[in-house]
Amino acid sequence: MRIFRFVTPVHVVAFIGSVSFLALFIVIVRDAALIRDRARASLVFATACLSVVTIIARVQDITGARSVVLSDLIIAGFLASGYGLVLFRDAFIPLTRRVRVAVLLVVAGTAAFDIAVRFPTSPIPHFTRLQMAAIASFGVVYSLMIGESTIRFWRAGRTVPVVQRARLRSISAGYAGIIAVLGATIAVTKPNAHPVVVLLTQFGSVAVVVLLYVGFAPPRWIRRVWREPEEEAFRKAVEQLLLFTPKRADLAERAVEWAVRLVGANGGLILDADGSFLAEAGAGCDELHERVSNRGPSWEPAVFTLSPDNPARAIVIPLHLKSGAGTLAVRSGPFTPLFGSDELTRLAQYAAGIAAALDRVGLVEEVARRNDQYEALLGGISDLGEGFIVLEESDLVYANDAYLRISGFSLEELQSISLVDLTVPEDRDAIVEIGRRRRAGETVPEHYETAMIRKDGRRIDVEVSVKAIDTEGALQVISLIRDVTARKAAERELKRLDEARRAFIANAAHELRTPLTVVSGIAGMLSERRDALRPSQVADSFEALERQVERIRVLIDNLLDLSQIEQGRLAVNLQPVGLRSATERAMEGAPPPAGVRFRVLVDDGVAVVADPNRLDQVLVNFLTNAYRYGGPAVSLEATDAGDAVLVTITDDGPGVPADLVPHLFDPFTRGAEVRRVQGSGLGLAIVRRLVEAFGGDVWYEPVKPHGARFGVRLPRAAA
Amino acid sequence: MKGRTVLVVDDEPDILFMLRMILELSGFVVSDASNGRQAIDAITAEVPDAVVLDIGLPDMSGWDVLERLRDDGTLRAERVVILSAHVSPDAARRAAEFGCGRFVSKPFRTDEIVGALEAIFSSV
Repeated sequence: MRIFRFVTPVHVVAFIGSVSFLALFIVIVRDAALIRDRARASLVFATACLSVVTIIARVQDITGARSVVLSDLIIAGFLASGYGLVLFRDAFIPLTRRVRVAVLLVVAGTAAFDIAVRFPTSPIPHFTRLQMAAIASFGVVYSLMIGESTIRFWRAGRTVPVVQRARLRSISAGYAGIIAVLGATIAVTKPNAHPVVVLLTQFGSVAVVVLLYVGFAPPRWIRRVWREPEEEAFRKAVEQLLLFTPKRADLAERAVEWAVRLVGANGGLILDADGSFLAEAGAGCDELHERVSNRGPSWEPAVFTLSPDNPARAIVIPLHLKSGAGTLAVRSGPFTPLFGSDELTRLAQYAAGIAAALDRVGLVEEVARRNDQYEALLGGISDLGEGFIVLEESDLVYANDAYLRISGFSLEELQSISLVDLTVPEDRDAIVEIGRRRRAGETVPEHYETAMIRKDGRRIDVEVSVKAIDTEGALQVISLIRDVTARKAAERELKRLDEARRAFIANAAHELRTPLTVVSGIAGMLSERRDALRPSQVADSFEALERQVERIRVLIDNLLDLSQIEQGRLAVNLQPVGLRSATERAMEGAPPPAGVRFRVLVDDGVAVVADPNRLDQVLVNFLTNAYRYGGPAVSLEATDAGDAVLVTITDDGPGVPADLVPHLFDPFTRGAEVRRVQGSGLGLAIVRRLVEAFGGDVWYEPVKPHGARFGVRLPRAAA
Repeated sequence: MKGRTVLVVDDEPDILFMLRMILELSGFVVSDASNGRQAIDAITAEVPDAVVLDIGLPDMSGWDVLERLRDDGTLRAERVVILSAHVSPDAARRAAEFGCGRFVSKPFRTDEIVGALEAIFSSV
């Protein structure tokens, strides 16, 4: 009966509180047995002390026994538990050795002082002043130790991920709870304490135990609760991540950040199937990398302690990539709640998603890479100057820069017109027909030459290679277009030169035929029928022979001259030549015939750069032409033109027929009317080449109302 | 061949001189013209028994002369000997098309031209 007298609600709750402390102690011990580290050892010590204190308190309650020894044990146990909690804090947020020692000395001192003052043992005691001071010192020291840790844990929680923060806040709240309960206990240990207040105090201590349990050894369910806010953000982020991250390295980077956040890890990393490093996040990754690299080709998810020297825990999960097993690994830090099977499972689920996403992004990257390669190849074609276009069902879907350059159009412009319209009109029907036959599946020429009209209206010759490719039912036609305008022009020029050469030979042969006819005919007659000829006929025959032989000689001389000039083998001896004396020499070589009025307008001292003999030849040629084909009034004039001298030979004859003017300086150009007049037809061709060899040029202009003017521009010789 | 009249048409005076000598020695009565216009005028005035016609005349081609005279019925092509410095098969073919008696290319031997005229007179 006596016992029941003491069993009040206060006692029941206090008893539950004590049992809770014991349970906490047991949980902590089990946890510490699993993972041996300093933090857990400190906790074992602290919870052991608190358990002892509450057990003693309950024994006192139940038995009513009051002894000084028990009171002293309570004081010592309490203070020791406080020191244990400081050590726990030290394991996370290290103190200096000096501070640790100071705390130990203060705790020991306070304990000694409190024991020394000898508290009264009665249930409702009256305290002396000294005893009050002892109680106060006890409260202050304990509150300072625990309070500082409380604040420290709270503040540490501000800068860490959600899961770690939740744990730190729990510990902080537990610490604060201890102070509150202690304060309340001290406060209610007095005669007039209201029973309800005492009851609430006892409830408070039970609540503190729960908080400490959650903070010190968070169970799986509470860890899930902590992860909850992260999970939601995580789901969204991962969705974004897996769907929209374009690069494998970026994806891995963000995936590992999330893995670290999700389980409240300190750091993490992802390795590719070949063991190469993909991404890391947080701290301590080197150590982790060392520990998780070089695992075999096949292994299971695992939780393990990082190393004998490092109590940190690590989770390693295989990433099942198409190219083999990659690695996702995370490591714990001081604030990490716990790495258990729950975290392992969660990360394994996550890893499956990451692996799939890495493969997908890898594929996207591969496609992009291939695409880049094709772009580079196509760019190469463009750099070679080859136009390249792709038509899909007659629509232009691709045109490279070279094609745009060749055609002069922009891609948009090309897409708004029909490409056939770029072909020259005369080839359009044929091109359209080839296209029709190609679509009909017939064999059509793959290479052809045509011409197209550029945007600027210029006509260009092109060489086209076309190939039809049937891709998944759609007919794609690829074409290579090469601008061969220059080559074609060269070919045409070559052809023209060849024709000119043939014409030249034919002309030369033709020019030889007439004199040869005369020579052979007259020679034959002189040898066979000389006796039948009159003396005057014999004399005329010899004159004719002489004329025609001279004609042959001139022709052959001119041909040789021209040939030497054309081969670049004409040696011109360039030097200053006085124009006046050159004109005089030319007039000796080609004296004006009777009936010609000749005028020279050349100042003394005018000098040009030329080969003197060849300049004479040029002037003789012009003068002879003027006498033969021109009118009776002929003039030779020299005018100043800066660093050149213009020499003009003008006559008042009929002028050169307009149709001859373009070919005037070509070999064998002679007017029909002048065919009777003696000449090789090579004179002006030679003149032009000689003057060009002097560095000058020649031209012709008609004179109004009638007449011809030939001009020569020659470099002026320095005075 | 004595007394047959022959008109020689060429723009080269020495050729005319030479042909006149050759043909006169062979007994022909020779007149000459140095361009197409003169030739047409001469033939229109008095049709010779034969014509030696150079193709490369300054004012018009021998073909033009031939065409004009044949078309107005003045001259029969078989009485014409074509002279040409061009040896292309074209000229010979064209002469045949006109029905010209003979085609002689420059340079020629004296007996070639005389032979050609004799062949014309013996066939007519």
